[in-house]
Amino acid sequence: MSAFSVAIRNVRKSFKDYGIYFLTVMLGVALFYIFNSIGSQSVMMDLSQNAVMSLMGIETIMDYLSVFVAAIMAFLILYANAFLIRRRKKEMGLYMVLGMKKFRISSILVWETFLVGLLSLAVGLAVGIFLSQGMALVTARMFGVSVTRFAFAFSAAALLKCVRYFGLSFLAVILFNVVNLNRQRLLDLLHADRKTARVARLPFWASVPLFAVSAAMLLYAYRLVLTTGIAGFILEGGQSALTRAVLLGTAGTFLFFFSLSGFSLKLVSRVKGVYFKNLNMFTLKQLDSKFHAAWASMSFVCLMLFLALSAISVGTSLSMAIREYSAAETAASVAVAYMATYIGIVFLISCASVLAIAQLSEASDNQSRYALLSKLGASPKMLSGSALRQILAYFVAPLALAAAHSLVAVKVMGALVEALASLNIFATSLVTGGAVALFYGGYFLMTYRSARRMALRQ
Amino acid sequence: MEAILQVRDLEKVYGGRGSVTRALNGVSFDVRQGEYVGVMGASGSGKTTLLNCISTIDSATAGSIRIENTDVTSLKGGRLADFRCHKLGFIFQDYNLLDTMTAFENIALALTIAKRPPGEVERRAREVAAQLGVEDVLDKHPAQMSGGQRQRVAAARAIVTDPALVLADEPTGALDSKSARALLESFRHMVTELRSTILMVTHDPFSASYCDRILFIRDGRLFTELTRGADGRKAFFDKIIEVMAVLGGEAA
Repeated sequence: MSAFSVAIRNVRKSFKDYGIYFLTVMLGVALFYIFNSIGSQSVMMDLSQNAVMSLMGIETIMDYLSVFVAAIMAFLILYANAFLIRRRKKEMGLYMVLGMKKFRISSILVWETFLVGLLSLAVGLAVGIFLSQGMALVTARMFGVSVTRFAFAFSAAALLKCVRYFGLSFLAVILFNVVNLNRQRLLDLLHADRKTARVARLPFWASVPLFAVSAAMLLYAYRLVLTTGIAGFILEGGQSALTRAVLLGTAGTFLFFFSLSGFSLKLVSRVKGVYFKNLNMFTLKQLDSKFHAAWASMSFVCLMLFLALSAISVGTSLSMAIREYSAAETAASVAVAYMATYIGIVFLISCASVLAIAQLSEASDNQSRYALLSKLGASPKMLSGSALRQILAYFVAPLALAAAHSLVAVKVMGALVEALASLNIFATSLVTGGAVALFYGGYFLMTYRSARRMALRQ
Repeated sequence: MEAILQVRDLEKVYGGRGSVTRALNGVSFDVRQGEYVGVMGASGSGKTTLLNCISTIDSATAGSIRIENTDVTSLKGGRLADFRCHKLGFIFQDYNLLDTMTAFENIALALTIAKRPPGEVERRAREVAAQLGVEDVLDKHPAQMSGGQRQRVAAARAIVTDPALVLADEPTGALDSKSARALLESFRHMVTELRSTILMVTHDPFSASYCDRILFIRDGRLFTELTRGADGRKAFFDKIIEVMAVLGGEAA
């Protein structure tokens, strides 16, 4: 059998494993296309010469921004790939034991990456081209004109840029995989599923004061931001207050996730009626070990989510306020609105996929745990309930803290936008909430479904 | 005394369309309340398949398995789960303790799955831990315990719900000889003092010599049966070796 047909079979067989990877690349490509094709939307509306010029200007800004976005996406793709490969080490080892040459295994991997990449690129482009037609309505609204005719907006330049940047990412993945495979020793591959040692944990007496300190730091940072206000930050002296608030907020966030699991676990374990009920003990311990092992990345995710939520909120409120601006202001504001929304959504997707991938990486450990619980007599309902609670807590914890952060930030920045136009807080939060529900919620559902499948597989 | 476990004409066929393997080919036996029964046989004899069928992890092709008068071959879904947590206790070769939990929590878990009242969980888990001599390691995680301690914690977990039948799959397989001896003494204690009923699969004649009765399986059939009676452990051990020699000799 040729390496190509083995690759096709592998992709088809492990399509569910590739799900998160596929979704992330697909969404990345779609977003990338949409925001790089803004200029082409002018075919649908009667814009003044000025507006067309500013639209071109926005496209240039997006061009620069896209290098940054492409770097983030490349990192995500590599990250997802690394986890996929780690899960398949044993399979690689088996190929080698059977006498397959490393070159042939490499070519199977290359073909697999190529196939999945091609598929997600094609679907992402199709989705992007479809949605960019709808984006034209938003652009038109912001420029205060209406869509006069339906014309198919298509940007060959944006398409080529997608292919170029994502093609480069896949090339990096292929290189990584080939180099990585050549460095592996057969014995390590075959024993890849052997468990690692436990991390030393924070004692309870330490986690309580640390948690209190983190809460105090965060509250003080909030107060600092709210009392200084946006006007205060521009004034002299206000900037040091802002710096202090940012530093305190960041440190507080890290400390919060560092102490959260030990603190809340001990708290709940004191309530015997809850702790000794059904699988609660198991669920809490699972969460504890996950939060404990991943507190740093959860803090990063929380901070990035904070930026995402704030950016989307500001982008949305700006785009709503725009109609009351003059032409010159409009062009600048449309650019800022698009940039903020673009970056916001990219960050949102990045966070969700990092969480989803980290969860998937524990799948094999968890599967043996669920198999044991099932033998001990836990019903399928209990098992999927435990999986749901774990994934829910894991996704909601960083989001909840990020939402609190951005509520404070948006309140202050809202004052800035409000000074120029009346801000519709309700509509803004509706759009932001919608984006979170759609992207973050989508990843949550997908992760839950795969965790439940794992829990119920016997 | 009444039989806790009744196995009748049990058959298990794997595969299909051309390549059929008969793992079990009409096995029948009883296990009475308070008995300690060993199942011996070479690799591929069907002893693990037998244990899997009785433990409801695998389904039989034909025949019946009754545990306390419930035919387990017809159980499914939630009722099967209920049956497992109330009627069966498991001890595995590789302990199968949850590494995220302390010994105490591992034992308590079996009770919470069986939906025992939370107030009872702590008392009962400590009581059983004391009976198996693991009260000193209750706050430790599995990684901090020796193999023997882990397996005794697993034994405590298996009997904490007072199951009708404890199923042990090569429980001494991963232990050194001293720990193995201590564990087998614990099993004896479970049978004589705690009135547990144990069905243990093993290929080790030393482990088997602690049993009351041994079923020898070969090629999916019950080959012979050996009862300890009034013999000492050493005499019983010698008899087991004799049967094994015949088993192996005929197979060769």
